[in-house]
Amino acid sequence: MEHNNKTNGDTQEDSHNTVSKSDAEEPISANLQQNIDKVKQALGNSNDIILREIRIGKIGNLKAAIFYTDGLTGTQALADYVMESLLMDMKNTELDQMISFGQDVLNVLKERALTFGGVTEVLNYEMLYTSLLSGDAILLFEGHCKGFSIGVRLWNQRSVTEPATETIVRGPRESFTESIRTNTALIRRKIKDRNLWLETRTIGRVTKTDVSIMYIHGIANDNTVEEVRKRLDRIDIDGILESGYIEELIQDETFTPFPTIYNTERPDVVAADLLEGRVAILVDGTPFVLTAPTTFIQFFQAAEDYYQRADVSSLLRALRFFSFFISLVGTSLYIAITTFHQEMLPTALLINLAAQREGVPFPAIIEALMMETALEILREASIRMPRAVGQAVSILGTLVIGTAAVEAGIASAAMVIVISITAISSFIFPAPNMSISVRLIRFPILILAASFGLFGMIIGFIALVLHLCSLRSFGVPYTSSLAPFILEDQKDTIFRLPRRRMKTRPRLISQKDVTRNQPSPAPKPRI
Amino acid sequence: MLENGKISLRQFAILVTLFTVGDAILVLPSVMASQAKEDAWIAAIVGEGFGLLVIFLFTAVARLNPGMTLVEYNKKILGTTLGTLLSLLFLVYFLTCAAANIREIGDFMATQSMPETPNQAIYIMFLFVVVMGIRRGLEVIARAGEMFFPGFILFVILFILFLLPQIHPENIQPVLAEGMKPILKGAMASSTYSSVQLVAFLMIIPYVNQPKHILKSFMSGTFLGSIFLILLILLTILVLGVDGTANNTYPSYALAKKINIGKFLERIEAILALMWFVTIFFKITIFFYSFILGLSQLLNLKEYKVLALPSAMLLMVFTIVLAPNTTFYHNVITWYWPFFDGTFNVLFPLLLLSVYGLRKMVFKQ
Amino acid sequence: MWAVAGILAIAIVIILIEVPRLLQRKMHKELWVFFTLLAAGTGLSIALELHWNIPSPLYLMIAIYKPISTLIYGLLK
Repeated sequence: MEHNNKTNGDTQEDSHNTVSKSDAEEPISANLQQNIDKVKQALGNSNDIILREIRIGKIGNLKAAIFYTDGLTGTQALADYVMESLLMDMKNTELDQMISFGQDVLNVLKERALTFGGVTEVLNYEMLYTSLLSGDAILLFEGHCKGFSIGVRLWNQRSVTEPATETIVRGPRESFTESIRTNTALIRRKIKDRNLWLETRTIGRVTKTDVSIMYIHGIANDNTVEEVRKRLDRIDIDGILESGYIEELIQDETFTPFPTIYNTERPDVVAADLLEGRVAILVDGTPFVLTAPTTFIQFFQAAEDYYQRADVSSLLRALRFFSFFISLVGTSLYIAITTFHQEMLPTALLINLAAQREGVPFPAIIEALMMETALEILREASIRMPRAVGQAVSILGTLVIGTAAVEAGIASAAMVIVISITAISSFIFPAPNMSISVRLIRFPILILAASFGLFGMIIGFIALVLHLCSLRSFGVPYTSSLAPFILEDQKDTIFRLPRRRMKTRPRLISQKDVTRNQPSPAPKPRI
Repeated sequence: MLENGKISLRQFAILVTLFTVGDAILVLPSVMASQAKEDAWIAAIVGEGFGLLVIFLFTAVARLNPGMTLVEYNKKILGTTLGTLLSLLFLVYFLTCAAANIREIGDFMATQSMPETPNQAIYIMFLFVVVMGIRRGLEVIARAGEMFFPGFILFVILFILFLLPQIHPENIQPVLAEGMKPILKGAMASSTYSSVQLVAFLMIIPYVNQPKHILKSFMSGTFLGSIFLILLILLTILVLGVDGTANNTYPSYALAKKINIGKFLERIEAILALMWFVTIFFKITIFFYSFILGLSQLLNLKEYKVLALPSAMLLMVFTIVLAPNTTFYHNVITWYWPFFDGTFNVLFPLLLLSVYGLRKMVFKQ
Repeated sequence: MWAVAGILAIAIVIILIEVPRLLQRKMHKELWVFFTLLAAGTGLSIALELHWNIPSPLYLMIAIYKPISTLIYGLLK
């Protein structure tokens, strides 16, 4: 069930609304019939908006109307807690009397009659429409300029299941869902500190999507939180459908292949980020939650690193860095060496390679580009393939691209091996958006390698490093902890030191309350 | 302030190290060996030692004028006319050194690694990344230095390790056979190739975030670079011998060619050359940065980054025009360049220091 | 011929990259310096391309430092 989750900061973005300005502030009229007609007309008589007219009070003299949206409202709760309390439970109590003859009817109803939890007042039409279309039930009364919005929201949503994109072996298997309230609850389950604060705003003129920020007050850098708020408030767009929209609209720089805002489906990852002082941005309608600020190193850290043993994790992480290099320069290195610097290969290998390349009609670079393109096509296609066909097509792909191409003389076996290893290495990233970046950057480096050999590659590499070093994510340098080199943050970059040595938070992210824990004694007693 | 970036002491030291190694790594051993024969390594020690002294000079000048770059305090100390003149001279110096470095790497590529590639293409590629660095600012350059530094150290260690099996200790002998004179000649070369070009850093010192410890940072950077150069020169003599070093234009490259590990890792000189590209890149970038920043400060501009691209065109011309051929260039480098460096790195800072002192004394009266 | 066109093309690209921003911010002094440098660079490049003889500045260096060089190296012989 959904609670009505409006907060006091939730002002309407009046000037951007498609409804005319007068509507936004126009108070609900006292005339019930007028209200009913206006609401119906405003919503175009959509027939999933249900209207129920009732009479309340001892002598039934208070006319009221209930609006709700079929499909978004929990009709059972509506019946049990609203209708029943209004129509049945008050019978023959003093409340009945008060309603029919007393003053201050609304307060009586709100404070004494309605047995549902979330009840707020609706003051104008804009609040009415937003509330109604979010699934609340709207209660309007004859002769009163205020109405009630009762948060009986309920709709079908995906249950909390395993994450689709970030699977791990050891660790929690919950993933966020499309409902923002479920997501905030999942985070609260992990962090029960009172300093975990939540702010919600509505972004998107037409979609009016709920977007929430969560952060741990006292750990998160206040400037960062403020910056996030500012950037979110600056957004002016008609619709937000996914957190990717928000990401694009608030990120520091658009002209870069590297992501500067992290996203994840996993509550434990978000909780860990919050503990380090980051800010989480949740968007209703998508299970992908954003966290900011981000550093380059974050994309090499997997949730599992912290649940497994430190030594194993350190090795795996080193492997990830290594794979990063391989996937970035693997094919390029092969082409550069075989074209320009053959002397570097041991003679036996060189003869083998030369023999393989004998039958291939294309220069190495064309061969590589062809194979790389084919691989990219296969990769994209396999995401969207219907499951039934999946297996068969994968086998086909392997055969076509691999064996058949080699036998047909279109590619050399060594090239296929190199490209496959490079491709597989790029899957090792815990974060898919970084692997996409790597795939993109590979191509310019490939061209440089083919034109100028190793020299071209180092120039490309220098350019890449310069670019990386110039990126910032919400004020934090992107290459933080490698450059500027912060010694105490090294505990979590290439290696992962044992838990009791991980005493501090990343310095540049939180800049406050940097100690996580007190130094604890070694577990093994010294003899 | 034109430059808003701030760099840390560590970043400063790293830049100094990379700069000191710079192009010396490529050409210095040859020059040293031809001047000082087997005692080239002793000459290197002497030269680098002198270089460290010069660092004191630089820091002294910088300390007198905290927060100001070289160009700025030229005006302050010498007055507007003379100060501007001196600054212009320094700008010419920076530009010339930048061009020289690009020229060197271009010549190296042309003769050793990729003779088919036209020199201009190499210059353009280098200029591309140099301009990219400058347009992004000092902080980015410093961070990039930090990122390359671990790799650099690793390369150095591996380089030395791989060559140890090939040492012929007898190559060093006889020691001090011809006395101090050749050593002094060599020392001049060694110091002016590496540390006695560091005056460019007087343009960068104001942007370090902890100015009090600049001396330590400056010294450790130079020291580290010097150690490596000394080791390198020692190694070239030990492995290649005096003649092998002196007659070879690029002895360190020849040295790399000799690396042979288990018949598997051989002829890997191209990979080692990569690290040298990086050090030369930083040297060129710092010189060019000093030029552009200096020019902007001299003309009181509000922004320096915008001048990077047009200046790069100028630099390109300068590089090509610098010398009609490598022989001419080597001739100049060996016999005249040390004095060029000496003028700007020793003479002028001493000048600034003395004028400052004189003015203080005069005003006290 | 083509090279000259290429040089001019590069100059134009440089202008396109940097000038709009300067104009927008009304940085006139910077524009002047920019164009001076660009003109110098482009002009000299084209001169080079047309094989005009541009003497190396190092000749100047030789001229200036020859005396001291002979002196010091003479001492050290």
